[in-house]
Parts: sequence; structure tokens; C-alpha cells
Amino acid sequence: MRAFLERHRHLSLLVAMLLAQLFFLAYQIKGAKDVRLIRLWAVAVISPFEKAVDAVVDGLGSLVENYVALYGARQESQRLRAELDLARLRLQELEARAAEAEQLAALLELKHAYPRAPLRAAEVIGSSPAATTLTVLINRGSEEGLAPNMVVLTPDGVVGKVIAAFPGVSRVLLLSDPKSGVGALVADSRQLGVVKGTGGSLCRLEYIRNEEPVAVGAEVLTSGQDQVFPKGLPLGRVTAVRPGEFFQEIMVQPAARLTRLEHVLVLAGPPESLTATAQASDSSKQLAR
Amino acid sequence: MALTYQPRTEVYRFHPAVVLGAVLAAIFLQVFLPIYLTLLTLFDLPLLVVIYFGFSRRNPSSGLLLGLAVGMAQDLLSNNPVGLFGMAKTLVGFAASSLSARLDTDRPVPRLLLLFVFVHVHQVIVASIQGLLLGEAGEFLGLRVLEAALVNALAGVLGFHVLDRFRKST
Repeated sequence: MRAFLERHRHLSLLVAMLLAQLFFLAYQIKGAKDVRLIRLWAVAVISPFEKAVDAVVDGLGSLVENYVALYGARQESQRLRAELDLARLRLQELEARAAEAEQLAALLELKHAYPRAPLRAAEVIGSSPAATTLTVLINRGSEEGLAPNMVVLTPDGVVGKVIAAFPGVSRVLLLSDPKSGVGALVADSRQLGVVKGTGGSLCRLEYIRNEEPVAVGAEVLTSGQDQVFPKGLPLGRVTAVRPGEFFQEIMVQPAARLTRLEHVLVLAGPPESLTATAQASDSSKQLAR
Repeated sequence: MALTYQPRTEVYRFHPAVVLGAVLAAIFLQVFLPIYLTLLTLFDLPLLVVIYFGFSRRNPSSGLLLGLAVGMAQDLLSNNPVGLFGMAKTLVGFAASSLSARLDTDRPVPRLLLLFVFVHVHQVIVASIQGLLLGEAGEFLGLRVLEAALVNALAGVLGFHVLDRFRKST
């Protein structure tokens, strides 16, 4: 460097003098914004480096920030997903509770409709362990005064009857069980018959003669003649009618949703205890509703 | 042909008083004479002094330093930002010194031509600085610059002849 400067000392001196004057000139000159040119030059020289450093720092910062944000977003996403799952679970629970509350409200309404009837609310706690029988277990038993042949119903209609009462638990034979039989009548024509279970979702209305017309959609109620079920409780609706050898083959869709039982009412008394109440006339309407 | 490639090794030296006197006289005249004679505004006597000593000393460093000093003095005495004429005369002093080693600058015709060129170069440099740094519209070339170049060239040839009397061969 020194050798170069000595070899080109005149040129070096020229450049040095020119630069010195240039800076001196720039120091004196003020730009449009009353800023000395030397400052503008200094800024112009420094600013690219500053911008570069700033860009690098910004880039790194942004990268780190994005990484952190991404990591945070992932955690947030996991947290939100967990919260969503929890909320869904909660919603399902609330929906179930709402449905349960609705059922209980209906049961309560039914109970209020028969203020003197010994209706006991019970919860279905189990179903039949064998596919051959359609029974459910309820959480009321002999200790609560439940006994065999007591009627089990919901606001929709008849469910069945208690076939065994144990301490704290009772077994209920559903209307759809093949062993079930309920005295019935067709609401419109007042034709008497027996509703029997088929083991499936439908029941069969038997002993209706071929010459006695039954319309599809007709409502079937309890007749009370079996001395177990009070008269006038909804059993179901006729879904199909076919003439048989002597009697028609009439299929009935149970009014109560037997496959989705949760809460039921048990008439802890004789059948008359329901019909003998002052509001007996309203009961059928209530149940029908 | 006067302007021929004819390397010259002869270097002249001056008594410092002569240099100082010539510079001061040039600046003094440049400052006061135009007051009385407008035509003299075309003259740039300090430039002529710089060129002359550049031609005679044939040393680029001393040429540029003399140009620097004269130009800055001129700037200081004027309203120009200091460095405007300084830079221009530094470059001219350097160029004159450098060229004098390769061209015969002792004869009137080369002097006339070189003076004519250097006045233009000086003006271009000043105008460039004005335009680039000061944001002013400087006059690069034109009739006035041409007139100034002719006047200064002629004055320079005469003045140089006078100054030649004070130089000594080394």
C-alpha cells in the first residue's frame, strides 16, 4: 500500500486533496431540508449497511418470531382442539341432559296429570342380557313398592309391565317381547284385541276378525280387560293390515320408543288407581299427546 | 508544429516571493478590477497563475497544491462554498503539471491552446460541482465560456511571458 502510494504519490495526493475538499464542500452545503450534505452522504454511506443489518436482524427476528408463532400456533391449535373436543363432549352431555330434562319434564307433566296416582319415576339402568327376551332393568324395586304386573309407561305410551321386583331393581317386560300381551282396542272402531310382541320393533294386534275393518294409522289403546293395564293408555298405531285365516294380521308400531328408554313411570298400584283419579278423563289425552 | 510530443526535462524554480506575489496579485486584481471594468469579469487570473506555475514546475503535487491554495483563497473571498474553485483548480493544477512533462509549454502557441482548453476544463469542473453538489445550474459551455477561454488564453500568453522573466532553470 505504501509502495503504491509512493509510486503514485502525485495521484494519491490529488485524490486526497480532492476528497478533502469534497468533504469540506459537503460539510458546508445544506440540502433542501437544511441538512448538511456531509450528513446526507454519511447517511447514504451508512444506511445501506444499516438496512442490510436491519434486514438480516429483521429476517432472523421474523424467522424466530414465525417459528415461535408457529410453535405457539401448534400448541394453540392442540389446545383449541382439546377444548373443542371437550366442548363437543360437553354439548353432547348438555344435549343428553336436555333430552333427559325434557323426558323428565314430560314424566312430571304426566305425573301431575294424575296427582293421586302412585306413579314412581324410574331410570332404565340396564337391558336384557339375552337377545331372546326384550326386558329392561329399572332402578326402582320392591323397596319402593314395586311389584310384578305393575304398569310401566312413558308420556308416549305403554312400555310394558314389571315382571320381577328386587330390592332396588326391577325387571320390566317390554311390549315388544314375544311373551308380552296387552288387552287392546282400536280407538276409532272400538274393536277389541290383544297386542302381542313379536320380538322385533313392531307388535301384532290379534284377534280382530277379518270382517272388522281396521284402518292403517288407527290408534290402538289399552282396553283394561287384562286387569293389568288401565284402560285408555296409548299402545301404538296400526302400520299394516292383512287378512288372515280368521283374524287379520295387524301390525302395530308401539307408541313408546322402546329401544330408547331412559326414564319411565311405574304405576305402583292397581290399574284402577290411575283411572279412578279425578283427571282420568284427561289422562288419555295427555298420554296421547 | 508547436504542439508536438517533445518531452521536456527542464524544470524551473521560482523564488517563493514571486509565487506568493503572483498569487496575491492575481487574486487582488481578480477581486478589485472587475469593479471598475465589467469586461474583466471574463478573466480568471488565479487560474492563469495556477496553470503557469504548473507548466513551469512540472511537478503535479506542487501544481495541485498551488491550485488547491489559490482556489480555496478564491472561494474564501467569494460567496462560493469553500472547495468549489479549490477542487477545480486542484485538478487543473495537477493536469497542467502533468501535461507539461509531455508537451512543450514554453512556446506561446501551445500555451494559448492549452490555456484555451484548461479554461474550458475548469469551467466544466466548476459547473459539474455546481450541478452535482450545489444543485445549481452551472454553465458548462457556451459563448461566454468561449469568450472567457479566448480572453484568458490571450492574457495568459502575455502574462506568462512576463512571469518567465522570474523563473530560473534548475
